[in-house]
Amino acid sequence: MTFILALQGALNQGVLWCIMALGVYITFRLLDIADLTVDGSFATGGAVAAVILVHGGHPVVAILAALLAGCVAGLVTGFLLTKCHIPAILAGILSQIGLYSVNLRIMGKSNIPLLGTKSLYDWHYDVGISTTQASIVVGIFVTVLVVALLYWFFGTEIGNAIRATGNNENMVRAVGVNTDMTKMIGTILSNGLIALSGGLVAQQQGYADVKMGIGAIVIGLASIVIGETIFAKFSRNFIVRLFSIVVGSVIYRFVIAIVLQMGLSTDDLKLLTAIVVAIALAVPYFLARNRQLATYKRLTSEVDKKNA
Amino acid sequence: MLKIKNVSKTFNLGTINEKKALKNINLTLEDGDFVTIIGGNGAGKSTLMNMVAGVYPIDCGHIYLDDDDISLDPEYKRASRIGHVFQDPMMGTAADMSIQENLAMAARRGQRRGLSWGVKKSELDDYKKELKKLGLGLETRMTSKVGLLSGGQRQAITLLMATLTKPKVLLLDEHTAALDPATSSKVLMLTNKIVDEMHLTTMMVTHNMQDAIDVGNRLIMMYDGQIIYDVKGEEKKKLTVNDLLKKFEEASGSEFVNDRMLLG
Repeated sequence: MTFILALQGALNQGVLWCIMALGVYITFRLLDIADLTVDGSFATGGAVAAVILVHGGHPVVAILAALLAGCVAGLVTGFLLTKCHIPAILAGILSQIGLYSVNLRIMGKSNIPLLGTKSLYDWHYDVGISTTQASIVVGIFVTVLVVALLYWFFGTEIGNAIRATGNNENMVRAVGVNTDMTKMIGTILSNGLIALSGGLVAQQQGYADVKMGIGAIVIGLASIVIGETIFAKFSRNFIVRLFSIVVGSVIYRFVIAIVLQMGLSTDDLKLLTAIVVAIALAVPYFLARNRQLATYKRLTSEVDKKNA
Repeated sequence: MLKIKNVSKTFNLGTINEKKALKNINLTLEDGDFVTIIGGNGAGKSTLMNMVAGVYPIDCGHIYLDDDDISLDPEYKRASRIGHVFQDPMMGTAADMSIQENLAMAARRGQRRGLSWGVKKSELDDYKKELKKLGLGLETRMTSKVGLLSGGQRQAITLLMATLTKPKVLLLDEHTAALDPATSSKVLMLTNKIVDEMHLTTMMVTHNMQDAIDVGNRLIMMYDGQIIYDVKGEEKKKLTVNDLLKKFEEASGSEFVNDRMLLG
């Protein structure tokens, strides 16, 4: 029974955190930029949502405000990246570090408990399901909404220009699109989604903490990479790619739940995550190298035999 | 001696962009051979050079340098015995470092690098002498940053770096193509002089057919990943640009001749 509950909890976290992973996907894969703002903007989302909730605000207002705050964080990173020509990694780190102080200012302290405040999951009393189950339903609802919106947006003219920017900036400029603009929209949208995720997670876990975003970028990458590895064989369709991230995020949480059940200390989780992502990112390179060597040996022995 | 045996290379294998760049190449260079390589765009000239240098792996076959099979060695390992000069003058030198620092890096080709000084005082006289031979006045600017020099000057330094320790094979990949005509002929003259003095085994890719005829003792024409013409000695000396154009038309089976080749 505890195991079932653990899996339920994992599914819940998976569907809430996958929105963050979708945000990371926009910069990491579509724009081909490693944006490290994530760790800061995720906590910003949690902080903004928590402050609004403890002041009696509506939960929907809280997560929309979180989304907006994330967009502003993304705007700052985009500005540093495009208008100040600061390299992407540095621009992200600068925002992330700055946001730590901003988040503390927003919250006024390092941790805000959400006891007795309204939440998006309150309706579960009327239906008679657990908070976790209600949270799963809300998570799935928001996720489907976000995936649908992203699918639509990246098929529009602006969306195409953003995707092309990640492929070939020169081409995009040559057809008359301002790549500063496309990158900026990308970082804004990305961090907006990340903060939205932070707002949802804060409500689900019942508190916001200034440190809640630490390692979020790695979890996002893990979700993307796991999803890609599983779905790469089936389809490269954009909608499939988006859903693969959702599935990757859930699988990541399942794996974590299972290793915790098996007795792994929560202290070691971040190390485990880092190792998993490192392996997942390195494997394609090693596979390609081995394949090349095997092909070389086979073809060479063929031509050697022919000429012997 | 450089021996290339049954070497093939396909780019983007198994995709719609699949391109057979080299098709079962066999070529042996004797010590001291100076081979010029011509051919249209995409004929496989640069790929052949890159295969010898180890820039990317070959699909199959063997590359022997003095009877050692170097087919699977990485580029940096082969570089201890192979000098490589690229078309882009920016690629062969470190712009933020001085001329003497660049030369000192090249002088240690193939040696273990440790914690002694990167440039020793005792080396400077040698570098000065070598730079003087270039005849570009660079011997008085040894502490200048390479980034301040012109393309031709940088290419001359790259050439010097590639030959500072005598390489078994010198690869010149259109190394004069990005220079203006006057500088280009100056660098080509230097090349000829250095190769001649050091008796280097050399492969030179060029788009200039007159240059290909004038320098070296052997000429190879490539088409569609294959060597279609290979002349040396007296026969090569008698060649004219028209002969080469005719050969090229025969091979490609059309009147079409690459416009860059016509300019030669």
